[in-house]
Amino acid sequence: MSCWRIDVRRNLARYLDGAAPPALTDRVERHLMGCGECRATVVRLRSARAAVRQLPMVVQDDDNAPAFVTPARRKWFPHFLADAAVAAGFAIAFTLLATHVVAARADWSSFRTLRIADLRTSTDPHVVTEGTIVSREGESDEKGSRRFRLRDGAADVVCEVLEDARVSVPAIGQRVRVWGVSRYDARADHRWYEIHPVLRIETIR
Amino acid sequence: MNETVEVRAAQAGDAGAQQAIYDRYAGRLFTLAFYMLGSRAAAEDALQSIFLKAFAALDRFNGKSALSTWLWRIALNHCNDELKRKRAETVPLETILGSGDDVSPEPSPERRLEARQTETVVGRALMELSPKLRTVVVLRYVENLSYDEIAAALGTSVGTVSSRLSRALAELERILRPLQPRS
Repeated sequence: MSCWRIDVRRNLARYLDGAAPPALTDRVERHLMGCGECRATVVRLRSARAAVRQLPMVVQDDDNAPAFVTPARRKWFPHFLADAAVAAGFAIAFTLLATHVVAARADWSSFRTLRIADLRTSTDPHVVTEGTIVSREGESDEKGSRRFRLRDGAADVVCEVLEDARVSVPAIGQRVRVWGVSRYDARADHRWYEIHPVLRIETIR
Repeated sequence: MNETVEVRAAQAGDAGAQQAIYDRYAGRLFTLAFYMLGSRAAAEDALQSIFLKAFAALDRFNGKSALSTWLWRIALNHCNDELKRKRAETVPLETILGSGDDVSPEPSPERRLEARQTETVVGRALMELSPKLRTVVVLRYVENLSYDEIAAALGTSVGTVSSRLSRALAELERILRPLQPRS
């Protein structure tokens, strides 16, 4: 960028956001009339701003409600924090229970049947897919859950069974049908589509 | 109960007042921590630490700034400390996609998929910014703070906030440009 009007350039975001005072707005607009480079910059900044405005607020899991403990401040520290700890305990217990109950009572017919290759385009979280187990990778890095890779033709997908789930993973080479939750794992060392958690595995042949 | 009265009550140990403060700010601080630290797990840990620090220091809050500004500062300091501590490690890039339960529902499955893909791409681009630039983007365009509020939270001037935002948007556009559909 070769425009020397640093005073204008540093205020372009503020101008775009309509947060510049009138005198500054006037100064920026007068400059933009004569500077194609800054006009192009405004267009680029506007594009980036539109993109970043689509980022959502993130909702905290209820299961992970905070349970603070502060021994030094216990004398006045909020009762609600102790309540939260108890509530969190109940939540964890409920989640574990619910996982098993859901797995036991799930309406498997409501799961959408998809080929592995089509998982990435699915918007349905609950899916059932079919393939051959090509590897078992033992325990993953997440709380002792078990991971295996399922392949169908050229497509494959990582499947993860939670530690507490009563699901047995068949041997390598076994053709299976897998029910679970389809999602994208965007961690830097993963970045793959996966079925996580796996809720049920059925051996086909 | 207005906020000044509520803070006084919380300082005096009123659990209800403390709960109200937590309820009012936890969501926004969680979002900030998520985008600053790059993962839900880190954000959950951070949120607990932030409120531990805040409640432990609450009797030193003198009301010269808004409570929100004071909390933003604690949160930003905590996130920056965490980032420094983990500088040698790769920042986990769980970003936004996750299970889809993370974000507000979109009107249709097609739109939801499209939005989730966009969020992922933009979220990754955001994580490529330096923490200093990422902070202003999150505070401005995700948390919707005004320039004055951001300046107060960062202890800097509105001009500096604008300068950082201009640089951050230019940087984001440079990262996202190759991914834009060609016309």
